[in-house]
Amino acid sequence: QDFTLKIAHVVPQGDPRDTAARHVADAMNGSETCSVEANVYPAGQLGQTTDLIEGMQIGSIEAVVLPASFLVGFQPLMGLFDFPYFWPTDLDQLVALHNSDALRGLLDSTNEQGVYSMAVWHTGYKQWTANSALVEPADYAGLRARVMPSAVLIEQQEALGLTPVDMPFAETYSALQSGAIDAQENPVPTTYSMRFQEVQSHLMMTNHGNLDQIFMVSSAWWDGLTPECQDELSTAVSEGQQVVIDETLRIEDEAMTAFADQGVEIIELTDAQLEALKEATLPPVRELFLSQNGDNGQQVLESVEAAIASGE
Amino acid sequence: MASSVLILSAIALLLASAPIFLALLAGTVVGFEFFGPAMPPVVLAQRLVEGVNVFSILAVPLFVYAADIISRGEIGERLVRLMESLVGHITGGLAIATVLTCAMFGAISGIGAAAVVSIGPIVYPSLLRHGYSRSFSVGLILTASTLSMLIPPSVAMILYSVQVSVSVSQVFLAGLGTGLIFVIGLSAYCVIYAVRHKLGRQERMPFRQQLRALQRGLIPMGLPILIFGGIYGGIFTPTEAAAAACVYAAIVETLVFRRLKLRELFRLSQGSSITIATLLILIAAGSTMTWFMTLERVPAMLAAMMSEVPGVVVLAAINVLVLIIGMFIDPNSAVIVISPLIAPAAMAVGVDSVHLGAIIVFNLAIGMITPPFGLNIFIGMSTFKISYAEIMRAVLPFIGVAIVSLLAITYFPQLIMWLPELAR
Amino acid sequence: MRWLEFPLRLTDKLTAWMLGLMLVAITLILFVNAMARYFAGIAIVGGEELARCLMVWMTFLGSYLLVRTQAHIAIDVLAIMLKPATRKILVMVICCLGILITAYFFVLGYELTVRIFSSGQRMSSVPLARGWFYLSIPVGMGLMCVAFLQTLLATITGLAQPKVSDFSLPEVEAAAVKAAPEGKL
Ligand code: NA
Ligand code: NA
Repeated sequence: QDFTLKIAHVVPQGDPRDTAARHVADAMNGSETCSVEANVYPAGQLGQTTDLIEGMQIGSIEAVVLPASFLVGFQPLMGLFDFPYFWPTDLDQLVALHNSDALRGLLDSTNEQGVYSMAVWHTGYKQWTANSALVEPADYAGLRARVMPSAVLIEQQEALGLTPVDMPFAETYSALQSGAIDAQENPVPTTYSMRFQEVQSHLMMTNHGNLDQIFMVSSAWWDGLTPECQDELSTAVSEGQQVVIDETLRIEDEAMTAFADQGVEIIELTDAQLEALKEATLPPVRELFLSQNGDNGQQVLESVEAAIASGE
Repeated sequence: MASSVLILSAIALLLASAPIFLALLAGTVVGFEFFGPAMPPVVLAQRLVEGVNVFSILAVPLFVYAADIISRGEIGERLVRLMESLVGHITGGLAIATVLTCAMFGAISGIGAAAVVSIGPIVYPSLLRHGYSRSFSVGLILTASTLSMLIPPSVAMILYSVQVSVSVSQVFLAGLGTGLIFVIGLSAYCVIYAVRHKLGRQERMPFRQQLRALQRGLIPMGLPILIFGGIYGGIFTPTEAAAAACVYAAIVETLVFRRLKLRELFRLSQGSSITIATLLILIAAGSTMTWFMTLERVPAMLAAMMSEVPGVVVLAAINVLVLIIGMFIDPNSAVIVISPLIAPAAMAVGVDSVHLGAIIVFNLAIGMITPPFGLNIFIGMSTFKISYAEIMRAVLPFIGVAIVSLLAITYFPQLIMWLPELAR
Repeated sequence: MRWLEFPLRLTDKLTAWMLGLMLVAITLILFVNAMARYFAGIAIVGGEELARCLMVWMTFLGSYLLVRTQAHIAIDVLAIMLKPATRKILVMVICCLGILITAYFFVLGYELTVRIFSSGQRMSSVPLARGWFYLSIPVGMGLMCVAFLQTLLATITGLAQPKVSDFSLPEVEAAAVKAAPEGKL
């Protein structure tokens, strides 16, 4: 074999991300023109978060699937992916946006860090869970919520009056159970696979953001591939984009049935209610992003906003 | 190939009395440099840092620190007197009380090592004073401490549930049952031991003295109450509870009992740092080794070997396999790596996934006291200042008790499964 | 040898002092964080990561004192069985191994630290460069290498080495051991 392709991610086997990563690995292993030995290392076996990205920089890992938030420490512009009430809630529109030139510009901003962001994999819209109904902005005030270490997400939660708590994902279940934290935000399949429905009574269908994953490879490794291999990998990764979505939708259905059986109260919000939440969160987050990223940020933000507007 | 070189050189160095962390590091370096994948070696430095860059590991230094404050001050002494006054006269009473204390501690701590340093130094002198031998006492403390992994909350069980997608609360309940069976097994052994050595036959303390001990124990009892109440009341997470324990112990010892001056407290923290480093550097080196073996797909190969085994002996095979893995790899990494490999094979032959979780975690808990690589063994060596050889002899009978309990829950699942089934 | 003695003792003191401070800092960060969150609804984001960073430093700085005081754990069955002269040779061989391995990690750690600092990567919730995590390796491993070297020289010349009790309260180290009746097994 001429090339090794280790694909690392941090979720358990059977997660949509894992299934799609395996799809990529199988496609490459089965390739006739390109001699690659591909393996998937799930569940943080090779590293937990940012150390995986560093692994690509130092040459110990070839490919990583991680939420865009984890790239913020390397490239602050990637914080855009964490914006609340910003991304299209229509799935086809979102996918078209992910494959647009405006997004390509944003993704290419990681190249200077030795990381080539190949594609965005959508793993479902985020919803809030809590032990009470969260309908208006005021309902959030005073609650403690788990937050991923991302400045944008912290700002979003603080804008709602939440107390953001950064804690390891594995401890979140116990913390929700004991009441050390009251709420958490994640796509439905993630909430389901972490079993949070056992310790939360309400699910709010806010679709307020994404936990979209970047399929990224080491630039140095990518540059060493033959053009044929590069093409095959690109194709496999775009196919993976669809595999993730199909799997996510399938598990989402299964999860919603399980939540209903469990007696979780599912709250649908009206457009007006969603608009109020958007008003409360998006402007302060936007301001933070611009203050941190200057002209560069302004440019990226405006081009993505233009792409969103043209899609509607 | 690389992994066999790693293991062989590490074992050779261990037998040659090299520091354990050095033996693990040297084995990994040799395996990596000469037989490993083509990969820049700086990754080894990164893995070494990432091995200890883990939030839940913070409980280790903090509980060591709390234990040092407690053992230097008056809290420990008062707690021990209280326990002696209540159960000292019963045959095996003090040993059983140790088991129960560890079980209670297990209900607050999610990892199997913290009890050694937080309970060990308190009960150890008391056990010795009542005639229990050094090896029995150390073996008992190290073994009973693993109850923290079985009795919920348990980090290993959460990791298992997430890997296999099964309900955490269900696995917790199975773990509670497993913990209770193990408590019974350990207590039975304590009674047998006490009867054979004619221990615990002294006079019961007069009621007035018992009352006095209870009264003196009130402030120290605040410590477990603070930890329990704090975690279950949602004030802090288990890791933060360790910090709260340090603060409570420091305040009580300096301001209430006045056994420590602030300057002494700071000097104490310097001494604790050395004990803490003995453990942290081991965790770092051990996790670098685990990372390398995962990269070499060692756990996957072991699981593939298991799939050759006929259905009826699958449970036995799982026990043997996980026990062996647990001898080398730390429990939390082991759970992540092996459960997704084993679970499908086990479920195919009709093993319940909740039951399997209890079996796997119990095996790994036993792994903490089995040679050559058991975290509790190393913590025991630095806490009780005794040699590796002596600890080996000390834990041997307890490994026997553990394996009997393990067989019981493996082949009589109804012993533990009635709890989760009640809640289903 | 004398010229090495003074700087080493000074480094010991300084390291012990920093370790003590780090341990106290970790305790206070986690405690204050929990209290502020529960009672005041104030989140100190970044406390978790800072505590982890301090723990990483405690690991490698602490390991220097560990080597200095020979407090590391080992399976010392063989060493106990050997005659003093042979044991001395074994200790010297192990010291040489220690020098090699720590020097190797010093070089790797240095390379890694330079690379991560120059990438400009930030920690995820603390306004510091991520490279601070990795700097602990060259610093700690470098110091450990010197400590192994000194132990090697001390084994040859029979010089005294610091003990754990030099850095702690004397009673503490002895507490559990004193209670144990000698030779009772
Ligand atoms: Na526990
Ligand atoms: Na073991």
